[in-house]
Amino acid sequence: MSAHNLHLDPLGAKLRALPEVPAPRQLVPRVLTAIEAEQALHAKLRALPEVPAPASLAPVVLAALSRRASPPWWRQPWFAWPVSVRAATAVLALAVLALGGWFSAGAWQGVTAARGTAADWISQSWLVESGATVMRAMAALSRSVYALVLIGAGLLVATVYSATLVMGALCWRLAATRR
Amino acid sequence: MHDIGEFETFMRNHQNMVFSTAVRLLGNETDAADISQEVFVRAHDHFDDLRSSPTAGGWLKTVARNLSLNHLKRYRMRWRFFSEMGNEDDDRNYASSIAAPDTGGQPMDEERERAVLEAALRKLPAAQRVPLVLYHFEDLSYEDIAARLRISLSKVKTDIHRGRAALRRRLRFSVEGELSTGASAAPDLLRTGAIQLI
Repeated sequence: MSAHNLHLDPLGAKLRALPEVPAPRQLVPRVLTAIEAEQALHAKLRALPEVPAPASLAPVVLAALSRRASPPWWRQPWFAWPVSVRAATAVLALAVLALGGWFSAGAWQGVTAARGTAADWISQSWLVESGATVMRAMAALSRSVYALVLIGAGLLVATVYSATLVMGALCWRLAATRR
Repeated sequence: MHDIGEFETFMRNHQNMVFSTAVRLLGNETDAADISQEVFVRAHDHFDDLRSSPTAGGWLKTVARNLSLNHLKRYRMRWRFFSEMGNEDDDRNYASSIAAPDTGGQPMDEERERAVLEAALRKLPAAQRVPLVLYHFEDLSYEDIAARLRISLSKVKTDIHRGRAALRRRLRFSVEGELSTGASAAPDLLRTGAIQLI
C-alpha cells in the first residue's frame, strides 16, 4: 500500500490490499486423473456393505444337512438294514445260489446247444440282412462315384449340420438376451 | 456328528459374506442362494477344521467364489463366442436397464449412492461384472483373472475398463457443487476420458 494511494483513496487502497478470499470448494470441481478415479471407484466398491442373505438360507441348509444325516434305510449299507429285511435278502440269495447249483449240472450242455441256435437266428435276422444290404450298396456306390463327389457331399452335410447348430445358438442368444 | 447349533451359529456369522460374494459374481439372488447353500453344506463336511480356524472366512469366500465361477463356466464356455459378440448390445441394454437416479441435481447421499452402485453392479453384463468383481472385491490381479476365466489379459483389462465406465455413468457426480463455466478444458478432457469426475 503506497503512501500516495492512501492519500488519494484511502478506502480503495485498503480494500485492494485485502488478501484474496479462497473460493469455496463447491464452486470448483476437483478434476481427477484416471488413476485417482479408479482408486475412488475402488474405495466406493469396497465400502459397499455385505448383501444380506435371505432368511430362508439357514433353514434350507439345516434341512439339507438333516436329510443327509438320516437317509432312508434302503439307501444305507446292507448291514444297517432292519434285521427282518436282512434275513429275507439272505434267504433269497441262498435260494438263488442253490437253484444255480441244481441247474448247473445240465447247464453247460444247454449253453452249447443254445449258442448254435442263437448264431443261426442272428444270421437269418431281417435286421442283420438289412444292414448287410445297406453296406453292400454303399460299397457299390463308392466304387462307381468319384471320390471327390463323395467328399463334397460329406462336407455339405457337415456344413448344413453346423449351420443348424449355429442358427440354433443364435436364436437362443437372442431369446435369452435381457431386454 | 457336529453340534448343529454350533454350526448354525457359524453359518449365520458368515452367511452375508458368502451370499455377497456369490450374488456379486452371479448377478442374481436365486443362483446366489443355491451357491450359498452348497458352500455351507461343504463347510459342514469340514467343520471340524473350520470351527476353530482363523481362516474360516477366507475358506468360505474362496469356495463361494469357485462355485460361482464354475456355475458361470457351465454356460460361459459353451457360449463364449456369442457372449463376446454381444458386447455392444449388452452395453445398450445395460444403459437402458438402469434408471438414472433422480436427485434433483443434488449430490446423492452415501446410502443412496451405495444402493445405486450395488444395483448397477448387479446389472452389469457378466463379461464385465465378473472380472470387475474379481479385481475389486476378490483382490485378484489381471493375470490371475485371465487365468481363472481363461480369457486374454487384454480382454480382462478391456472388460474391467468398460465395467468401471458403466458404473461411473450410473453414479451421479459426487463432486461438490456445479461445474464452473470457466473450466473450458474440463468438458473436453471429460469427453475424451482423459479425466473422470467421481
